[in-house]
Amino acid sequence: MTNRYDVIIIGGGMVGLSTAYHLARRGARTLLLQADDLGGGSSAACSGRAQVAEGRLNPLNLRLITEGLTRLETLEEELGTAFEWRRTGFLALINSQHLWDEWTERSQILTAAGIPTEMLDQAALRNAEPHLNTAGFMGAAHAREGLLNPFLFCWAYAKAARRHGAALRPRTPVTGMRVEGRRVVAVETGAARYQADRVAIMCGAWTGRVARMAGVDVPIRHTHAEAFVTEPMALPLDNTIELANFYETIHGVEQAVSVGFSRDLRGALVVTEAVTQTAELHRKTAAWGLAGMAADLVKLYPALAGVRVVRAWGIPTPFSPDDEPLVGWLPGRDNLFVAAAFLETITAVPVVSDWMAGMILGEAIPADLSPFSPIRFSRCSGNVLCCRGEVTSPLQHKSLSDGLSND
Amino acid sequence: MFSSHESLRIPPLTSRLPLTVQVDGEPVQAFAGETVATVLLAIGRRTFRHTENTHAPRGIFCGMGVCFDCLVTVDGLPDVRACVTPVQAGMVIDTRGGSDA
Amino acid sequence: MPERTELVVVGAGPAGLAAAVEAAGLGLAVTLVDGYPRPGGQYFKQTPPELADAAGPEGHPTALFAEVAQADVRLVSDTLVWGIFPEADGFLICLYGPPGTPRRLLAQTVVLAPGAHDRPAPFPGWTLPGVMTAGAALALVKHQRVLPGRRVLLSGTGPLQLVLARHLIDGGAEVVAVLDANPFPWTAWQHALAAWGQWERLGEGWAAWRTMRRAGTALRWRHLVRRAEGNEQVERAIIGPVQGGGAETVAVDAICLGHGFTPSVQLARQAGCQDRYDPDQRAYVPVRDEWLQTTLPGLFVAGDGAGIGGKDVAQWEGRLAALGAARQLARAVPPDRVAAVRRELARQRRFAAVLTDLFPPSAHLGSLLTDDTVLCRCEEITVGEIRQAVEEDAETLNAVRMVTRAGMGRCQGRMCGGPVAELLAREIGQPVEAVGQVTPRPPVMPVPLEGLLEEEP
Repeated sequence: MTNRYDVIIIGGGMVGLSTAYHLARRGARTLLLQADDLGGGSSAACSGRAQVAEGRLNPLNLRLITEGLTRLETLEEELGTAFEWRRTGFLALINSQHLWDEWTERSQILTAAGIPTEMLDQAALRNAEPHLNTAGFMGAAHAREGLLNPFLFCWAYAKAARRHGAALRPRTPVTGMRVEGRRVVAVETGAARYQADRVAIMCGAWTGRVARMAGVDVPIRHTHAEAFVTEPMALPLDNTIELANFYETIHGVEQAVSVGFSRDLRGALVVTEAVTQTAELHRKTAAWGLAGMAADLVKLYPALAGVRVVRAWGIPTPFSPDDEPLVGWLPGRDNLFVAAAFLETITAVPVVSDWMAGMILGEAIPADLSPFSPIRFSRCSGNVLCCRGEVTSPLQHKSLSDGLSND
Repeated sequence: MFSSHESLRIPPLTSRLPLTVQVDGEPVQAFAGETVATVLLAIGRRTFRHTENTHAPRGIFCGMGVCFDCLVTVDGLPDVRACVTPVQAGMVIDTRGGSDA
Repeated sequence: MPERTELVVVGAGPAGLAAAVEAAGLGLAVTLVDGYPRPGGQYFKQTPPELADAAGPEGHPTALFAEVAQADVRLVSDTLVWGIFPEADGFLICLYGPPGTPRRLLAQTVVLAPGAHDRPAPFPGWTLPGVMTAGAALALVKHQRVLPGRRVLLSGTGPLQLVLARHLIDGGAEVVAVLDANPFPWTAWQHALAAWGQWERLGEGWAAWRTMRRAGTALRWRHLVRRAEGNEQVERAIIGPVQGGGAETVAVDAICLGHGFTPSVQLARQAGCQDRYDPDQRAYVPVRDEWLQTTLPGLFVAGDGAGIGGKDVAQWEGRLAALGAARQLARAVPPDRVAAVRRELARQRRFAAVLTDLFPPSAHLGSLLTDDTVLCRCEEITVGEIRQAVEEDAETLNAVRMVTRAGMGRCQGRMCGGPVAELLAREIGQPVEAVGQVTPRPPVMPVPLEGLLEEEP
């Protein structure tokens, strides 16, 4: 039967495509359904940064980051497609005592994990990026960030997945899921109906919408972020630079601007981000966002004032109520898996997708992903009261296994 | 000092206001109201830059500022569109540099 | 707070100028924003005053310019509109211009009159210096008084080529040949009625024809340039019939490509107007109602930016859009004026339709492409690279763009968007509409970082 698969993945971004690759490589009959072009959601729209220290530095995240960075070094070779990977330095700009304290602690944890991180005073900061307007800033720096072309990253996984026999269907939106008892028995796309033993939802910011088709509430929120890219420029910029107060700036505010920027292989500057809290999912930009990012950037790096901006776009950016990823079997459904809301997606993907493929197929995997299990939200699933910070650290749930049958 | 290609300018030149600009370090005669592209064409210069990837020569193409092919460095500013930039006395035009060189 | 105004007209070509004077005549507060130092757009381009003596008498319609001079219109020149954002209380217009130019305007209504640019017609060697659009060559000869070359070949279709040939010959160039990809318009006599009254235009064509005959310039139907060759610039052109063999090589130092025009739809699309594919124009055009209003109430598009119709259609569309904007602002709109404008517009459209009919964009251009032909001039992406992406299952324009970077450069896909879509459609055996289009993002043209700020620094 042609419409029967071992696994159906809904979502063709970097998480879905990488998982499809690892499933197919393990010999599973895999179908991937994507509403838009492959990578056409938030994946191809992201800045391409392989980030190191966005989320909590707990053991599981640290392991994903360090193993992920190692794997990225050889991934182009593994997948057989170049995606413009390169290592860059990272510089956090710090402008308050408590962020200095927080980063001092972070730097110790990162250093211990094999990512040597230094705290920089103003002189050291100026030395690191001479064109930067360092007034009011101290810094923290390490040399293990990375940058890649996010679309080619998706494309590399897509090509490799196809080589291993996965069926990828771009521009095929899922219109419904048929649920019988505790199982999803079919996935519908309007034109066709597909059956599979297991179904995985990997739709980033769209995950909540898709999960509702299976009658499940997944507590995934999103912010609408904006970004722009300049034409190639000759000015020096060696590090990816980010304001350390990013999360503070955007927290609880309807609209906020914070900037992070880096230079891609061509010398073009990629700048993020202006953030809006909105229920809408779209890729549009707003005039205030562009103006705000430009103003902050010109203040930080005055020599950039004349560099021309070529294109701006919006990126729905998913997060969970406690800022930790959601990975695992969904409560109430025996064969429905979810993976979304990673904070260091590009860094984590090469490793976590491998583990997730194993988990979906019921294999033993080399790590305990239960801290990311959606079960931690099951007591308030579908309840909007689960807001940022209101749920205790998932590390405290570590003893909970997801406790679900997965066939 | 002036090039022999002035015949590409359509006569009469008598009513025009001459001024001098620099092209790649050489003094070149131009006339008020001309664009940078016109001055380069008038001295027989078709190639305004070379591309970054393949080092292919490029010159004026759309002539109205939308294709971004005719980029030159003007007074130190890279990637200026020659076809929509009027010349000024003393302007320093460079076809050898810019971010694409 | 952005400055508020009733109507912003974007583009001071025939459509924008006419819209502005018509609206001002109805008492609307009008701001006319134009990207060039002097109003006129491409059709009514004004020669810089310093070169005006050399250029001789101007070709622009003194009546319309006199109307503009007398009308109560605020003209903002040399200023790019880089984005339009619909907001609850109007359209936020983002501008970048010389010092003193407002950076934001909040307009109750907008008439977009962005015009068009030459239809890009890729063929092997088209990136060589010396190969340029007919529009570029015409502007050089007419308004800069410089020749694009000494031995010039014209290849494309339609009467503009004859006009260009005449200006080149008059300026002292040798026009090696004029190649028209279409057959001789034998059926033109059927359209005599539509052409009735178009004396100025017919006269211009006749004068061009006489100049070419005197100079011994050959006009060759069903021919086009197949390849341009040269080292640092174009030195030779290989020309031949659109189909079949018989190519010959001619020595040239310039090639002008006149394959008609393609609407500049970027701003309308960026603002969020719906569009549709027009197979006759081989381009996407904004969807408009009988007042030329787009799917965004209060936002109108007039002139070539909504489909190529020429300068006369553009002027009357500009006037109709202005009447539409006044109506949208609940102003009294004289019904007899509306009727007169609609009548004249219909007459001009009949003639424009004849030209589109007689000189359609050539369907044979695609057959010239070789794997090493550059399609995306900005990012230097070749036909072969796009074919490779298609082979790897990139089946939409967006996917091709993401895999290859075609259309991601400074021109924002204005040059390669159409040709890449057409190539992709041919490769996968689908109509062009099926491959989608690239979503225009602000800024619609590259703007310096400091130019995006709400206030001048």
